[in-house]
Amino acid sequence: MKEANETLATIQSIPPPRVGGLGDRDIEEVPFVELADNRLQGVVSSGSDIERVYCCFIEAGTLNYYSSTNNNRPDAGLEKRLRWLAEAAYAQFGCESVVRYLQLPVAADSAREPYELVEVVARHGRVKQEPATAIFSRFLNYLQFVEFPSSRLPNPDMNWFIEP
Amino acid sequence: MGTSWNTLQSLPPGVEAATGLVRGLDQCLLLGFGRLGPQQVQLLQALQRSFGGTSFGDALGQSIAALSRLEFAERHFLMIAAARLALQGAVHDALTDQLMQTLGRRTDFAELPASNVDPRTHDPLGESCRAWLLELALAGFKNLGHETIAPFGATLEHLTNDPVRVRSAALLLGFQRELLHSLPISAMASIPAARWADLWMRGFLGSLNSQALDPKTESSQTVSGRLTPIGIDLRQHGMFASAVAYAILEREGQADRVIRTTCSSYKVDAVRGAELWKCFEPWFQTLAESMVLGHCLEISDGLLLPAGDLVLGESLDKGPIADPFAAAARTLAPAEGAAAQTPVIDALDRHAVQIAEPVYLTGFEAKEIAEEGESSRVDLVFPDGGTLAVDPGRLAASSVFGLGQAEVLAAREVIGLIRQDAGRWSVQVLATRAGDKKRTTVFVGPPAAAAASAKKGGKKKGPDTLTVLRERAGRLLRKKV
Repeated sequence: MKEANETLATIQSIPPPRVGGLGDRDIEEVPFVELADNRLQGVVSSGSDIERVYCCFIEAGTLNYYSSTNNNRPDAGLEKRLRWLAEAAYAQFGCESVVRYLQLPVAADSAREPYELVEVVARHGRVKQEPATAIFSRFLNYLQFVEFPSSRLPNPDMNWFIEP
Repeated sequence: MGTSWNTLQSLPPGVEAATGLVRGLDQCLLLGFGRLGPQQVQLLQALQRSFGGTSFGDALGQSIAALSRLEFAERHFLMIAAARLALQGAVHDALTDQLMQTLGRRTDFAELPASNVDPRTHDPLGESCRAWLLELALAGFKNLGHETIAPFGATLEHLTNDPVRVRSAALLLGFQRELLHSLPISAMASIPAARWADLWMRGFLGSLNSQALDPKTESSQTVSGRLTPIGIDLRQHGMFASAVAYAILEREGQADRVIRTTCSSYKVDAVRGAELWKCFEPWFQTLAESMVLGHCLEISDGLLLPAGDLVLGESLDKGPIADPFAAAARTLAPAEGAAAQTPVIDALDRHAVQIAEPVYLTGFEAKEIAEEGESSRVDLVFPDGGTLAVDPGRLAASSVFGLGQAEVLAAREVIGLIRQDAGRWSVQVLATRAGDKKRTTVFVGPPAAAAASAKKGGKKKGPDTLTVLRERAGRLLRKKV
């Protein structure tokens, strides 16, 4: 039923799910990671105080980066933090998706390990200091979703979504 | 009396033509209404001709003419969305008729009351949704960038805070997220044009609906009786999960029928895989467990909606022993007489993706068919030579919960849903019973998930994601001013 120039993926309402590559996340270590605002960004725990976290990001394209506490104190362990962030991103989204979103100048195969991603970032990007409030605020918004009420009414529109 | 699956291999008349018209429209959404060329205008005119002679067709013609003149009023896009809905509704009906005939099932059980779209008169939130969708249509899916997709987040925040709009919110949340995660879109190998056009259309029309939260209407009825769940269909995206349990409802003095009952919950993307079932309310866990443990449930205050959806009330008590496979066989593949009534779809929701006809299958041989590369799919081959494909995408999704290729290949009995996409029929397997001595059963659902993670060598290492995040939310959100 498809024409010569159409692939199955363009005419299906539910394309086949993307191949795995998803791992377990350490949710205590990195409670929040997202591909948003043209960045890979998230929140990394300090390990000591539940209310003190590090907010870090890597910008798509430029690969500029930063990490600071949510009180805007600079992070002495920036490289380590970015590695944890990358590890969580790989577990959540898969290496291919992260490399693609960041528009990394190398192939996914050259950045299979989180430390390899961070090496590429360190080579190509620069420190870009920014207040932590934007990322922390998105973390708080994210957390709200575990507290919204449930519904027992029909929801046919969800039939388009079968993939996590 | 057997089903001849091979009769589904050719499409009913008209489906291909209607789908071709929809694809023409989808090309316009892909390229952008702000950049229509003569070829795209022709595709739109072909769309209008298919409604020729009707008052809707005249109005559509006027809107298409206006769009060709670059007059981008919202109501013209509403006409486009409505035309797409009508065509896909007709395709749904033709495919459903074909399927029901193949299955030997009646289609005359009940007339659904006419759906009422009662557009709110003053609805800034709905208008906000349509304004965004209009922007997407003007730019064209292939030209979308972060600056067009991301700002909708502000509207989404309001949407998700309104329980009445949960359907709209869940859909648009998933759509925006999918678009964002596809960036850069210009670098995609292929753009899922049909799917994004579906989501666009549903988003547009869904934002108009003033469907009240209270499902009690004139045509709904309070029911009491026994429920035997036979399978669970899980739908999910990063921020929302919705499970539909199919169950047999037995009532005093009434014929048995198959109903759907739904449990939906917002969630976060970190909660996925086996853990995801924890998002659902206790009543849903009870339902799923009864399926695995093999007993039915007694209810006294359920609300049965016209299309066959059951909204459970407070009562849900353990009932007598009941085997889901025996119940499914008796109800859906009876030796004599017609199958029981199965749920249908409201007129305004009709689309091939909504086809989910419950079936009980046995007497097949499950065969692994090699495909390109190292992958393979599974076909169920019946004694008359008829073949029913097992949907590989859905099988991959359910294998996370312990129901994968191996389980289907070992199955003697299958409970599933017949599905249709892009002209192809397939079965989504919800439960299997093997031919081994133990007659091992596997269900998609929470207990199956527990069994699967046990098989893989112990519980997931690390803490329970949902609990950890709820604790963080508790501490951090209370402090937020």
